[in-house]
Amino acid sequence: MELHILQFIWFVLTALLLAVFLIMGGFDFGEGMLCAFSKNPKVREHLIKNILPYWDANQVWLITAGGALFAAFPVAYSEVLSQMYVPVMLLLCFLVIRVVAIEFYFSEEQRWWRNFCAIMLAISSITSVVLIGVALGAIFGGEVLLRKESFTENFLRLFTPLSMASALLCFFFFGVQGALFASIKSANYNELVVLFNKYAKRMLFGLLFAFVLFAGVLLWKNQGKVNPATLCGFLVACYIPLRIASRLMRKNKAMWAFVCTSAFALITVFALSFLTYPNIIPAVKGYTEGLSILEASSSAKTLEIMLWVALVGVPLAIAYNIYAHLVFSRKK
Amino acid sequence: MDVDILSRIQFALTAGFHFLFPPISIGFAVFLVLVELFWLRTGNEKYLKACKFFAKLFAMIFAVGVVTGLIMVFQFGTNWPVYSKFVGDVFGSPLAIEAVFAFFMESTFLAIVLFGWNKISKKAHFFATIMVCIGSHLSAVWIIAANSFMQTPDGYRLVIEQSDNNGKTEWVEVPQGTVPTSEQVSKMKAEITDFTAMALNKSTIDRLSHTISASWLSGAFLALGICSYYVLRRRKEVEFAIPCGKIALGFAMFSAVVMLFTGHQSAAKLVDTQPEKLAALEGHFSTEANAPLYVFGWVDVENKKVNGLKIPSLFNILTHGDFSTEIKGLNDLPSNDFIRKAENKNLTPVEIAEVRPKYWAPVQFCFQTFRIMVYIGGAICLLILIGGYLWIKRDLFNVNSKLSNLFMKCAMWSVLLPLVASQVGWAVAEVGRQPWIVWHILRTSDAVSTVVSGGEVLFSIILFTILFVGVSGVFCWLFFKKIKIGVKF
Repeated sequence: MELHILQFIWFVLTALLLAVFLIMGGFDFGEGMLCAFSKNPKVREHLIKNILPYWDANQVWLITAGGALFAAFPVAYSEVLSQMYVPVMLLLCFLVIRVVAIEFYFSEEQRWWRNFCAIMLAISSITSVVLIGVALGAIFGGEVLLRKESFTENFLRLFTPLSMASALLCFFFFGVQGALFASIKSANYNELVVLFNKYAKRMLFGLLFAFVLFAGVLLWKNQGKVNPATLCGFLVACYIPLRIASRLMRKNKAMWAFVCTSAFALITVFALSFLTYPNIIPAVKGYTEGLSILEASSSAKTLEIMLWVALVGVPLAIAYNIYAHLVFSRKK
Repeated sequence: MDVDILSRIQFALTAGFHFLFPPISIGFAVFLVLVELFWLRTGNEKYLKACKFFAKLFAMIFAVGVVTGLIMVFQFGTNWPVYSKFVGDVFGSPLAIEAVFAFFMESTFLAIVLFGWNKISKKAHFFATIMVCIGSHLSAVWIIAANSFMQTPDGYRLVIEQSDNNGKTEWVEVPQGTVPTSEQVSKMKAEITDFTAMALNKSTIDRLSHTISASWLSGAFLALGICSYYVLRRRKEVEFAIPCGKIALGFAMFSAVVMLFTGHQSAAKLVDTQPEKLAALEGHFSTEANAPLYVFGWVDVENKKVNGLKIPSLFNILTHGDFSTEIKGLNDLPSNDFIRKAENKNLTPVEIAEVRPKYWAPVQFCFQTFRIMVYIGGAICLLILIGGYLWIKRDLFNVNSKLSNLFMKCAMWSVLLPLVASQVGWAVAEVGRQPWIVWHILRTSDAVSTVVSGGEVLFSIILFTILFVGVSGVFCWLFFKKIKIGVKF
């Protein structure tokens, strides 16, 4: 197959992987975040029990995204990671703490240990989500390639209006996914459903607000890079599923709201990717030229091998996941 | 300190900590399959209890293995971006394949193994356990394939970026055997030409079988240690500890045989694939036939000799199976032609002799760690032999037999042996490859990040040190607690 077709396919697949990670990781990190909002040990226990069978597979989506980016776009992989050294290291640390807190929560019954784990889980989930948001915002804004000399300046360069808005967006999105998933998974406990639906509604409200903010910053920072009409069209397309989700939540239909918010993530990732195409990292006027898929990608041969891997492997992986979800939804 | 040294320390730290866990989980997964097989065959409830209990221990080891592995996936980009750009075309795909084909299988089916006891049939559960086991082995296959590419690269070609008059750039192939200079590295990269040749390069099979057999031993010894603990403390768990201990010992015997054979294979192969590494492992300086093997000793790098106890001719017999074939020593390795190519200068033989030590791995380190690994392997085999003797005498796990008691005490502490051997073995394999990150193509010092500052790497080292100390503290506390609590009867 021709190189440019393969490059396009892999650009789409990378966006898809990111969207899948946000949707799957969304409920997993989100439930961790919710531990910060409830001190009730029963609620916390329930939240952690919910994530226990899934965190592992969700973590693997992240590993897959890293591996796929490495194989398909090695230059983008090395640039993004080495340029965001400190935030990536912090993120990795918090991811480790998060998993240890989930996995070892039930290993010790004493109150202090459970509280300690829940707090660590909440802190690490929130920090990871914020860091992911900042990183995605900095990549989308192109600031990731602007290297500064000093340690602090270099770290702080990533915190732009856009990346802060993106962090806020991620925070509320993960929170919504977590609360909705928790609500779906606790159908047998009425008081918990009520509580999680309440969280979901609040988070959803925050998400709408964060999205409007994000859209505002995007329009403000656009400066003629993209046709404003196109941009507005995209933003409306992203906004619609959110509105539908909040309508559905008025009737407490968590399952359908979850579908809508997941669709929101998918549409947003694709809309933003479309705006940067053919760049993986957009240019910053007067500073960097950005990084296009043409210079970032592997050879046609590798992309083709990887395409076969994805065509065979990803359906298999999804099949395992569905099988596991089916097993766990059985009542016995 | 500079970024190069700090990045090496950081990689050794994170990879070393990570590598404590996967070998156990690979071996332990096989053990789980065996125990569950016994349950299906005999229908005896004690095996079911053992299955549930060991699966929980497995989950703890696996969890730490997964998250520390997550660090590894991103490390290539953060600390070694030049390397990642240079070999990404070749090296990235096995990593992605590992995630897609191995990790999903392992993690999803592990959840079923742990939480699906009452939800699916016995056979479906056994199937899930087998899938976990296959998944963990597949992950070893792909990571070793990738790592073996770094040792004995194959199935690739080197290309260099060239711009024509119109300012258009394109990648042009360079002649085979070119060694990029430090300046050329940023403009060159490796491209895949033959995926099978890359994945199944000259050292993959030997290194894979050696690593897997060592992992089996790690898992088997952990199981053996836990079972011995229960028997020694005369706990209720002896009910399953004795039969499971026997399964573990049997498994360890099989693994030890494979390990000895594959260990010899992978070392002997080095004479063709990485002769400098072999010479460094044995402190072999002058090219000679009938070369001796040092049982132990101290390498005197300055005078290019080893002081210690040697067995005449043994090195020759082990590598070539005869007395007469010459084995090249470090004084002639790497070859003059190669050094001329690598230095990109037409050097005289005297000048070559001067720069040659730059192309050697740290000889003392390799010599000593290789011996540590081999002797630990020996200790493991000795313990297994004693276990076998007790088994034949029908005294195995007999608390009234003195020898059996001693054996069980040793087995409890020997859980650490395969782990230490794996760590030093891995260190030998990687340090022995230096100064190359990809053998005879890319220097480690050229592969490190050019944008990250020393302070940032130091920050990450401190961060990970604190994290790993914390995680290992929590892990050890809760892991041993779980063993102490044991099974509810």
